[in-house]
Amino acid sequence: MRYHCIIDAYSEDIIRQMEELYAFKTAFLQEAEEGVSYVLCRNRTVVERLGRRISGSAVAIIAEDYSPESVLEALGKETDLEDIYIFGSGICGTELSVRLAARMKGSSVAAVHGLEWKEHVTVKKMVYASHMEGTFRMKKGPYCISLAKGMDRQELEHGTFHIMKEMQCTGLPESVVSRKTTANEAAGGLDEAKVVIAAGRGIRNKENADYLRETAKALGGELGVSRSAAMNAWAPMNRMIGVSGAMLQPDICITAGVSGAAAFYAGIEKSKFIVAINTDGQAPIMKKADVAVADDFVPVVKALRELAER
Amino acid sequence: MKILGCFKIVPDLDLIAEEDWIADGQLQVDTSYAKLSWNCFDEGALEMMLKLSDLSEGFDVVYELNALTVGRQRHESFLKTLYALKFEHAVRVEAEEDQDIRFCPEIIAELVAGYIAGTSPQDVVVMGMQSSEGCNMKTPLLLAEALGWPCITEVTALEPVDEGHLKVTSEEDGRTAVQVVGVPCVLAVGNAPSSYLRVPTLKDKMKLGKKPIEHIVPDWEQLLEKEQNVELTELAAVEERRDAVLIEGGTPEEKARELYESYLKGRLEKI
Repeated sequence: MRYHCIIDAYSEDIIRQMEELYAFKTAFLQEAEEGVSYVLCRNRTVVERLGRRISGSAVAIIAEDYSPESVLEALGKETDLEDIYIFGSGICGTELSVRLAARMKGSSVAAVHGLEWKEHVTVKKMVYASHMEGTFRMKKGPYCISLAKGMDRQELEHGTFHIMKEMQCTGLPESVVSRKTTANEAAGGLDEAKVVIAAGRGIRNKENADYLRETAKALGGELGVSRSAAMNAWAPMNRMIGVSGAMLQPDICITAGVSGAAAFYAGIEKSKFIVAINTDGQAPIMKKADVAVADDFVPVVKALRELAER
Repeated sequence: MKILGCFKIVPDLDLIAEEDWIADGQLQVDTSYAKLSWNCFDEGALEMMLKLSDLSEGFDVVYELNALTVGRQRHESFLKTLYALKFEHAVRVEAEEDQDIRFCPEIIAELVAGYIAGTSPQDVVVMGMQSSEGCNMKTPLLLAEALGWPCITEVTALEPVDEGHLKVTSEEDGRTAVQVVGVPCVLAVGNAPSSYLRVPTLKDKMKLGKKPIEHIVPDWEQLLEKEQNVELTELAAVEERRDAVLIEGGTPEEKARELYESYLKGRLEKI
């Protein structure tokens, strides 16, 4: 069995992608044959300047701007029906893995966190909003998977890919009349924060969200929110924690008014220490925390802030 | 412009008791007692269609909003809500009670593609990126491939342009893209802000909610007989537990002091 990794070099977090892919192949594909890495990029210099690699050789798939249609056309020409293709955990990874498999009549599974290949290729992923883990048998090659968010990372080898081929992509598809992209405003360091206050629906309003954001700053941390708090516009969408938001691993995570829904908890489960504050002592989060306070978060957080600011 | 909103009705999985996360011999989990709701990404997609329609004045574009779900009889009330919100046409592809199609995105994509190609041509399909049950993240992408249409994922906003084009805002990895695209296309909605579906007025519910729903009865035997490229073989509950030390105290301030002195102060000082 041979495997190939696909790296999106249009993304700012290329090193994180590569570290996740590297950790995945080390964990699950040690005995498989290493193929090439396909690097989606603006030019070959991007690949050469990385100074790190996850395989010996790479194919540079080059276009001025990212377009899934043209990347799929290029990848389709390279795809071997027997091989495994591993895409990163980003938006582009999921799209390309599913569509490439559909075009090549193979199989795809998105957000995978484990893989086994013996008689068949089987993969593991979270289902039922992270309440259960499913094992899936992939029956037809090419086997295209994208990684789950928040996977373990492994430091990369220093060195430069040997670029064995360059593939020039066609431009944007005819259906796109105009296109403008802007870099996203970073979520204020939420991803890397050592202290996080995570607010849920129980915080009741935007004013409380603002107060918690100030408290998080006072503790040297950042505010994150649950999906329902983000959908109520109590905080921007880029502050959302969980399987479809940020996957965090702070030293301290203090949850306020969070019920502990599995899809949310997946985003904080790697925290070193979790504090839950909730009026409902029976809320699921209370069992998933290291320390729990069964009370209204407002006076508790206010007192905590005063103690920390002394 | 004819726009089809595809949606799924899902149980509120956070209401399922911990001990009920057990798969039976057919790898099915009984979630039938949980309250039903819109799949959150699909809800955002439907509201986005309504907002697009709100903006159409001044653009000389008429949007015909249609809706389709693959679901059961008890899901019809949701289609009636969409009629009350002035959707033009509502379709339910009938799914039988004992058929587990949660992990069959290929079949769902085939059914929707069949409806568009064979029964009711559309210019645009809008749907959520994934559902809470299967978490497959595949249906809109497979639909685009089946139809041979372009697809934009993680869509967060739509604006009118003209009869043949839409202005689409979407998230890409680390950037936001604003594109004017021609139809046809499939639009997969991601983390859109303010994505709760609006509530129809009682008057509209009375006036419009009784429109007949179109029913499609597919040949499930034939659909399920076809070998799927991906098959679920095991399902295991995930249990997350920590020490859960409950902090005691007479007042919130006492509890905060105990929390800070015994558990947080030292940790914060080390950071």
